[in-house]
Amino acid sequence: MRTRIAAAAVVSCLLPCLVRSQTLERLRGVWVPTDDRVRLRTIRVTAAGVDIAWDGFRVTCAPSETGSRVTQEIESIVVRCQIPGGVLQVALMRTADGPLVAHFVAPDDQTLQVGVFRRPPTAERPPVISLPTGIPQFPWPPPAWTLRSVLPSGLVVTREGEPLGDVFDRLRSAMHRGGIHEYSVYAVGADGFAVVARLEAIDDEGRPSEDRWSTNVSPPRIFGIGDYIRALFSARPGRYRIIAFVVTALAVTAGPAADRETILRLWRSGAGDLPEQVRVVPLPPSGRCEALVYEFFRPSQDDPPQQVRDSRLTTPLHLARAGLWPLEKLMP
Amino acid sequence: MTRTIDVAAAQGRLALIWITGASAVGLLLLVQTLAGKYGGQTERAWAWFVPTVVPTLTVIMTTWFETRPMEPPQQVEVRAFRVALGVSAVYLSLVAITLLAQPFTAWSPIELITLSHLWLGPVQGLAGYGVAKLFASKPSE
Repeated sequence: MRTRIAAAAVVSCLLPCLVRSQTLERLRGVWVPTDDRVRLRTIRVTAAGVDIAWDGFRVTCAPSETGSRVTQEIESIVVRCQIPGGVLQVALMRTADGPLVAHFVAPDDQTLQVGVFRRPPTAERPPVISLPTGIPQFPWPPPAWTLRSVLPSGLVVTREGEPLGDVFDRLRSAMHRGGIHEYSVYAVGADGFAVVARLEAIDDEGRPSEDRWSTNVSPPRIFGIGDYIRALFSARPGRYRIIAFVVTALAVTAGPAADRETILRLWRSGAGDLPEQVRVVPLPPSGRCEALVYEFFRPSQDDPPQQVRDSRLTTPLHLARAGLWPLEKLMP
Repeated sequence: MTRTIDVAAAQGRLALIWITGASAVGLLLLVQTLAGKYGGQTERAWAWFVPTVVPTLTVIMTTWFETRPMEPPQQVEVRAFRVALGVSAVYLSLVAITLLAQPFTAWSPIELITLSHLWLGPVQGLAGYGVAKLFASKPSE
């Protein structure tokens, strides 16, 4: 009996599901409104579904079971998006190579609104990326950070729709400038990436220590009785930092707290470079680069490093003292 | 002829060595603790120190304060006394060196005191035996 019910369900979904996947394929890509007053900011259609940006929130919408149509002239799909305050219903329709027309009814304003959407000027239809792209996905949401900051526009991200490869190259140049040549690269969804720099030892002011890449505290240099007395009675604390850059249009919210080992695994487990198929993907609208700073401290040589929750430094100070950019360029 | 020494005098000198040595090491550890040398691992440092000196000190103090002077005064061989005194001095020196030499080593403080059982253990046994011979032995008939 159960087998029959399952078979019936499969057969009943067969046609609508096929139509839905065809529609998603034809509408695939990023769409931005032609009118800035439209509350519906961005529509991103992937093979898996539809994501929208609404009033600063990015939500994933569920396609309607039977609301998809695809003909020679027109394709359309209806999606339901759970936004703060209720359900937003959106009907997307497009003729041939024309713009995308979205009809939607917001839960707080029960009137039918219409928006016309086009592809971003420089963003060609993104190439089909079959995930996984050869690089692992960055854990999402990212582990809770010590400090976070959105980098000023123009520093890493210069414009919407630019290839991710260009953004990555700017990040890589900055890291090389700061003497950071080891990092791991991760994918963030299908149109973003993250770079995790190597763990470095720093002083209390955020400057790299003499033994920058060692996690072991080196023995103190004793040249006199004063040095010896100091070494005999004082602890040898350690302060460490890992900087992660996330380039994405998604809202970056903190996940669960992570210990040093988890963050170290992030540095070790990613790819060494951004694959070509991700380099050509255009940066989606509202895409930006966020710097996440993970700072760890141990009060003595024998204590395990613990993540600092309340750093006395700021993200721009960390980035400037790591040698990535001058401080004035990091201040908004 | 075997040279002897008064047991009470021998016990007094040995007690002096132990009380002085243990107090010095204890004071060093206390100052290190107050200065934050051991961070969050202070309990481990004291957990090393207490069994290192306290058992022997307890034997010495208990015997010294609770035993009445014997009449006639008991004698002990000088050689036995010197051996006990020497082993005790070596042992207490090793305990102190374990702390004092740490800044010159590649080990962390806790790593080093954990490792110190390798050299302190055997000497502690010998020192304890020597102290017990002088302090816990019954007077000869």
